[in-house]
Amino acid sequence: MKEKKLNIKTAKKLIFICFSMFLFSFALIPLYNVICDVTGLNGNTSNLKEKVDSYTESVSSKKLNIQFISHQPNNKKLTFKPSEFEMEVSPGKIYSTMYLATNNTSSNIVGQAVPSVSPNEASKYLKKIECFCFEEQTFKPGEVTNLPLYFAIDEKMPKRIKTVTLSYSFFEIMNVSKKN
Amino acid sequence: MSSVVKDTHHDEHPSGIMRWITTTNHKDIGTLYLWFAMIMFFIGGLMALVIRSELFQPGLQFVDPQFFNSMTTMHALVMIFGVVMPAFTGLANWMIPIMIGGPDMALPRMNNWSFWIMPFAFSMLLSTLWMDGGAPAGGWTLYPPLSLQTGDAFPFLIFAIHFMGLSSIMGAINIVATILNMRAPGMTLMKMPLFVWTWLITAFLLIAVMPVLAGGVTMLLTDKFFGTSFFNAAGGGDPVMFQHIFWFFGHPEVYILILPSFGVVSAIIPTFARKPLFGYSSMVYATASIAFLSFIVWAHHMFTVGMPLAGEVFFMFATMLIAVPTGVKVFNWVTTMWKGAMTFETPMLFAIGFIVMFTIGGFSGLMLAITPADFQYHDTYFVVAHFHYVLVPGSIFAIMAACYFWLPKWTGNMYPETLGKIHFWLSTFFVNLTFFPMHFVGLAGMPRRIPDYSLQFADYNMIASIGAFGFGFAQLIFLYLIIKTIKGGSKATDQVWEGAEGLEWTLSSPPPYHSFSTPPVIK
Repeated sequence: MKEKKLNIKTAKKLIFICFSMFLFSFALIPLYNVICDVTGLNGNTSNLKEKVDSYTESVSSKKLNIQFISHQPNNKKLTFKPSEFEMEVSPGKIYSTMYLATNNTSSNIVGQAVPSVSPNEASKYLKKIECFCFEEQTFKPGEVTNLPLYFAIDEKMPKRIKTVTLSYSFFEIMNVSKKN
Repeated sequence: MSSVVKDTHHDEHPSGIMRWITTTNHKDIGTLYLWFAMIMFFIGGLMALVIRSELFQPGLQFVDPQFFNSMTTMHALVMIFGVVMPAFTGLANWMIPIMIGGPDMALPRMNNWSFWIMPFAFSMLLSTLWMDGGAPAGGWTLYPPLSLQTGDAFPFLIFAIHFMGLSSIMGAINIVATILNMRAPGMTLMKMPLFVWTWLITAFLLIAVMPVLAGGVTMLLTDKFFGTSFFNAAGGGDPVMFQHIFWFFGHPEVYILILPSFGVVSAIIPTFARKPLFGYSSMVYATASIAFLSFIVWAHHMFTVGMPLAGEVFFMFATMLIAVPTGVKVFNWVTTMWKGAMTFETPMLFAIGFIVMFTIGGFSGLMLAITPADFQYHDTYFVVAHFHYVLVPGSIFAIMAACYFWLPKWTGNMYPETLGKIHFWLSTFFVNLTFFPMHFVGLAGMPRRIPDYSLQFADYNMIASIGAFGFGFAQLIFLYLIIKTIKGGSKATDQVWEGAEGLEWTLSSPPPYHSFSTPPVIK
């Protein structure tokens, strides 16, 4: 029965490959995130505060446009939009703008805004100094909330990029809002 | 099929239904797989006819859009996992042991298990048609968030996919173990028939990617029921991530569906051209290269998701590179036929039909590989035309060619040749009538997976629907022909075909229940 032993040995090796590939499918998630963070592909922007002082020293003379857009849940519960849709900015300078959120319901809405930058390439150079997207937001019934955003464009931003679009999608955190 | 084995030596096995349930014999299990694929072929075909009836004219006539979407989703799942994959596994079970001179499959009990999981998986999948919220309707690719909106059917769908995956993984492990360990002395790797080679490579692809699909759908399951956020942007996940995981499985999967066909065609063409296969070792290396390349091209299914330019360029060129080994194969088949003493029996007709029409599908694939052009073609009927050309006159024709080629060996009876030729010509005519017009409506902008369409697409859709019904009914000839051949017919010789070479043709027709208990001598 040498052959039978050999077959079982081969099968064990192959089952091991199967099992590692199953684990690999889960490893793809962190791998993918690491690749996106490192390269700025997929428009992922950093959700961390940037150091302020490094951007106040020199102001570049070139200008570029930055556009603000928003995506809200399509159930009309929340109105979520930028206070101004377009700004002309100089790299190296700190700017501030505002998003406005209105809770149209009679209960609290808890959620978080997720940013995305287009073109993807620009995401590395858009630095957020203070952003409402860093934390969860709670909107009381009927309340109009101002959501501040402070940002700067890195001077290293490639010259061919003339317009940057910053988008925020607001997602409700369902389980929490039900409890309230 | 009991007449097949009646008069052979030591065929002690339970009779009746228990024979099939408890069998560990590779020939019995091969037969079970093939019949399972046949039943699923007609179920999946019926779903295709529902789709084509609705699309016969613009407007909504027969089914509501939700059910229409269920039909496209279920048609794909049934045809891929229930027809092409089991049919090839069935052929592998039947042919691989007798092609390499082995007594049986390496792990016969697991073999029984891997077949008998399939009926349960598909009962589960098909039962969703009667569930609240309907059968899965988000497309066979299961993209979230749409697929997460499936109703009660969702967990059944996921577990059905888990079971199908388990079955094919076990089948693949068995095939690899058989090919590596059970070869007759003297049967070196480079002496193996190409069908065995293509299956060895296919089995490795299965082992590598089916667990990735299992992982991906498990994440969908936990996203829906256990509050994880793998693909949920609100929780920090990314729906595009699923597409990467899915196509990391999905692209090797399409080669799983086609590589064994290459093996079948490489067995049939030399037989009827009465010449040895041209470029045997280049065929082996071409198959291996296709398998390797299949792992680095997955994102060409996702050109429009917003990838960076560098990614699009890489995946475009990697995809186009696959045309080189595939071209080597087509070249070798044509060169094998060149100046051969060819005859055109039914298996040869199907094999030549395969080469011509698979190449058409290959060329439309090259068109889709060009990133800027793909932005226009993406999710149109052009894509539908492309993958149906490689799967129907590709994989399905190869399976039919294999059935005609080996049916006399399996049953001991010749099939009626004229009827076989009628089946081929009807199938070829109607398959082109169905899928060729889809190129035109696709280029003109008709989206896929849609139950209604603009008026300008009406004529071509009507032609395609007529073709689909013609093709569907032509397959009843195939069913009739197989049953008739099993029941009787003129006796086949051991070699069956004049130009046939290989160990399987040295056995009697039908072969004994247990063959090669003592290994054959390989020259």
